[in-house]
Amino acid sequence: MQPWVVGVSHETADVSLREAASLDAALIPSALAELAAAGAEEAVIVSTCNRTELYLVTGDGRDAREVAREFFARRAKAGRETALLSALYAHEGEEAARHLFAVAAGLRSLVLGEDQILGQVKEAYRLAAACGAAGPILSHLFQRAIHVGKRVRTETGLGRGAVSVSYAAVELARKIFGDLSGKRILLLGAGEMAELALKNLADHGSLRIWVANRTREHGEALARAFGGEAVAMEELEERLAAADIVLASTGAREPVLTRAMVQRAVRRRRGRPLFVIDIAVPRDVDPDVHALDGVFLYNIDDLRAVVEANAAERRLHVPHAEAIVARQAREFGRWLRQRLADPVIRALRAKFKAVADREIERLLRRLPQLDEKQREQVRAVSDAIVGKLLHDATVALKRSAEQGRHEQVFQVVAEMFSLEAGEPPEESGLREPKGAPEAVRLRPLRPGEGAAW
Amino acid sequence: MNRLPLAFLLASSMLFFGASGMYVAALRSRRPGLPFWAHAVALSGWLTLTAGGLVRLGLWRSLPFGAFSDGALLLLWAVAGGFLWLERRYLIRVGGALVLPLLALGSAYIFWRPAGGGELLPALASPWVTVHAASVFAAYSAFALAAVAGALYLILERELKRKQLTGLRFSLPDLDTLERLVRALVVLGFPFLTLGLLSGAFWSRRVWGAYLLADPKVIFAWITWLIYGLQLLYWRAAGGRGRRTAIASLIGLLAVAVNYLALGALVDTVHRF
Repeated sequence: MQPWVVGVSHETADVSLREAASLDAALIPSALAELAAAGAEEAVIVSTCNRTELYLVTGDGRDAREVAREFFARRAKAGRETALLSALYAHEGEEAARHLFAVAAGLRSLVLGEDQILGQVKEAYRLAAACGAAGPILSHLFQRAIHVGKRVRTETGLGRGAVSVSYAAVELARKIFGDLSGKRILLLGAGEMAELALKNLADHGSLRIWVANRTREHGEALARAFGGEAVAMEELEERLAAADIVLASTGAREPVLTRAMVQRAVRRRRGRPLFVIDIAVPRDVDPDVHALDGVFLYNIDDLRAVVEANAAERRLHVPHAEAIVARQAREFGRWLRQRLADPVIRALRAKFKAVADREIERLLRRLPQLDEKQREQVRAVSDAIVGKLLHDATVALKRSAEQGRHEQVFQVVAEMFSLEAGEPPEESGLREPKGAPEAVRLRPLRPGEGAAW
Repeated sequence: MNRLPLAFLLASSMLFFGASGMYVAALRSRRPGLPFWAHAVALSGWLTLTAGGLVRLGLWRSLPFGAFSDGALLLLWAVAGGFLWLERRYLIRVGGALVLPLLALGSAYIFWRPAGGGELLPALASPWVTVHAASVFAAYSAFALAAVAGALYLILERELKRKQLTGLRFSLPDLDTLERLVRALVVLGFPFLTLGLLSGAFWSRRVWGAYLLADPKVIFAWITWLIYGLQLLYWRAAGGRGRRTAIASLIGLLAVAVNYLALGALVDTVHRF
């Protein structure tokens, strides 16, 4: 049984196709039930605005691709079925793992290395697990994916450095001041961008907010909205000397902060750094201000340049991240192949244990003088012997499965220990769509057979 | 000199060289484990040095202040230990590329230098000499580390001013932390320097019966003391923020270096180091 991933993403489909395919979190339980009814033994649905992917393990010879295509076809807008179906990609087994690991690492995201996707992968798995849809294979797959996602973020610089203008402002502020709590921020005007930057800054510590505006009423309204204090324009220089961060975004035609103003303020600041963020166009702050000692002036283009540099820096970490993903995917592939040996190992173990138990119980009947504790000890020793006898065989069987030599090996083992080939009862761990090895199952013991062994 | 402590010195010098290479490589490399291993190698170098010092102490049964090499080693040991602690505490990995090469060169220099001195003249032996040398070295190590923090401050400040941010900043703390480090280390070192100079003066009075004032090293040490003292006074008045603080820490270290490394070789002085 191989895990499959079938889905659409921003790499293969435009937004209208992705819209049709996307699933709200509230709809996912019913969608999982729908997939189960269609023949999926395990299913996890990852749905974000940039991708919708079905992770499936199917049984009974059902082709996971077919299940997924039918699922997506039902969701396509009228007349766009073929467009949606042709945008689907599908990966199987180790490739599916490589895909999910890369997704979780942020390698397939629109913004390289962004970290929301890891939370979304976690949430997708949590939902499926809560609905009982994630079985042993997909559980292992998603737990590995979450692990890989974390590892890539801690071991590489893929997620490092702000990649949006407002976060770049936060990152710079933190490089200057460290902790932002208690810092005083002076707002000059308040556009949408300023609001966003302010919100991000406030996430890193409680700021004291001063709002200066040309019109007193408007300033007071803004101050109320941001939980700050309105400042009259006449007080501007006073506040400039006390503030740590200035966030300028007025619609003024002329510079609001001139070099002379800032220079006077700097003299009173006793060397404390001043971070001026000018996101207004035309600019609010005289660019010469940056030359003053201890003043860091970044305008919108400077912030964009930081973002560009960060994006370039992130791209440098892609090979390393891909290497981690590839290594972990190979590891998962090995685990998948080793699983082929599980039914044989279980059958072998059951047979050995049945024989041992029978003999031990017979022995114990002849030794009535043993008390319950001693009997338990005898049974424990018997179990330990069975375990140790089978240890090498278990390892060898797993290895043969991993190396793809299992068909002959399983046959020999089945013959040697009278394990019968046939349809296993519920866990069809040996079925594969193509060239599946024959499943092996324990033939029920006939009365007396174990003893004659 | 006994060969045993020298073997320790050689080993730690080699470890410091190895760590230097790793720290420098970590500046450009994207291998995530490299800074960690660089730190580990540097730490093992420091532990080797510590072990060598303890062996040396066991053999001589006195605090090792007999020769230039002893004093220099103590300084090296204190700076290395202090830096490794700071690196861990404040994540200043980049600093390793600055400090470790100096430590490596210093330890190699001490190893190759013709062994001179050794035991102190019995006439000079006194608890004062221990207090004197130990305090001066404590002060010098603190000043050296302050200068490291100051240099890192200037590097980061330059990146922010030029608006060309490199990946370097991810292994540096913020300006505010670096600035506070500079101040804290100078504040820590200054009393030690004061104590060292005073105890030296008392010792000289006991040995020669007069305060030793005309010795060039002593004069220069008081100049150093003045530089740091004025700096502290200025901070009290002006807050000790910004680039000037960082630059002052470098100037202070320059005075220390001139006194410690150059003056001893150039002029006639009663100081061995």
